Amino acid sequence: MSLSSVALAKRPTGSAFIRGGLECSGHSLDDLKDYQEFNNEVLADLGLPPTWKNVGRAPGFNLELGYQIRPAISVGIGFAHTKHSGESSSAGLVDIVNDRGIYQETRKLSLAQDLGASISEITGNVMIWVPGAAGLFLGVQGGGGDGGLQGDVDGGAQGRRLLDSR
Amino acid sequence: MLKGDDFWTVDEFSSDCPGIGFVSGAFAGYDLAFSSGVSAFVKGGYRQRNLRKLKGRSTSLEDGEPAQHEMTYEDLNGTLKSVGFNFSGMFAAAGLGFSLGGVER
Repeated sequence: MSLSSVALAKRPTGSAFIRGGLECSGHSLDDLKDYQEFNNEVLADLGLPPTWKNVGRAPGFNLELGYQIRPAISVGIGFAHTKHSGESSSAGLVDIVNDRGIYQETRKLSLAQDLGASISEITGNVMIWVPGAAGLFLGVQGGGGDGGLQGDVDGGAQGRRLLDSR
Repeated sequence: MLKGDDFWTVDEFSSDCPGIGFVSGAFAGYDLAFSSGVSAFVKGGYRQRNLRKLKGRSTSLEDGEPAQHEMTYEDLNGTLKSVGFNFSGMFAAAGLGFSLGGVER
């Protein structure tokens, strides 16, 4: 197959098509940023470096089943899935005090976080194929998504409790 | 600075917050025909995936009940109960497809 054989596609009316692909999403995840900022405030209050990060861009995949109902219009059903993830850790020496604020000792405190956000979606798609520019399309989609947030935290000042008296 | 009562010894804490929400978006792209019925495409656009309906959470402690976790643990993980997530942003995709009815070139 040579590059010279590549041409802009024009689907015949009444034809069905299946397309699958990989994608990269850069979702804002503003709420998750707020959550991590809050966690970093907690870390700072504990005397640890506030180094917990947000999840980043994520790869995903998509699949679309479509049907060309008119020369310029196709409709389809799309499925897509992406998963964002990020690992963070923070550690430092922390002064331990009792309830009266009297210094007791210094211990090493460590925390590690594995945070993930994933979503799967099913949408209905409508695409307009620009007349006179075969292969060029514009589209809108709407549907539902199912996802969630997963988090694991481990670490801490492991060991037995040292301060039993107040 | 930690107080003595803030100590906890739990090794691992997990949380899972599922939810559903509405998805909408707009996109544009090109479809290129390689042969009859086979094409490649690129597309990109904006997608809004609002999971504001996320609510509740389940938690598990891998090593059993925490001996001394108290306020530090709750401070660190207690906010998941009330927030949802808005996966809005740009996306770009590339892929291959085929047409059951052929592709005119």
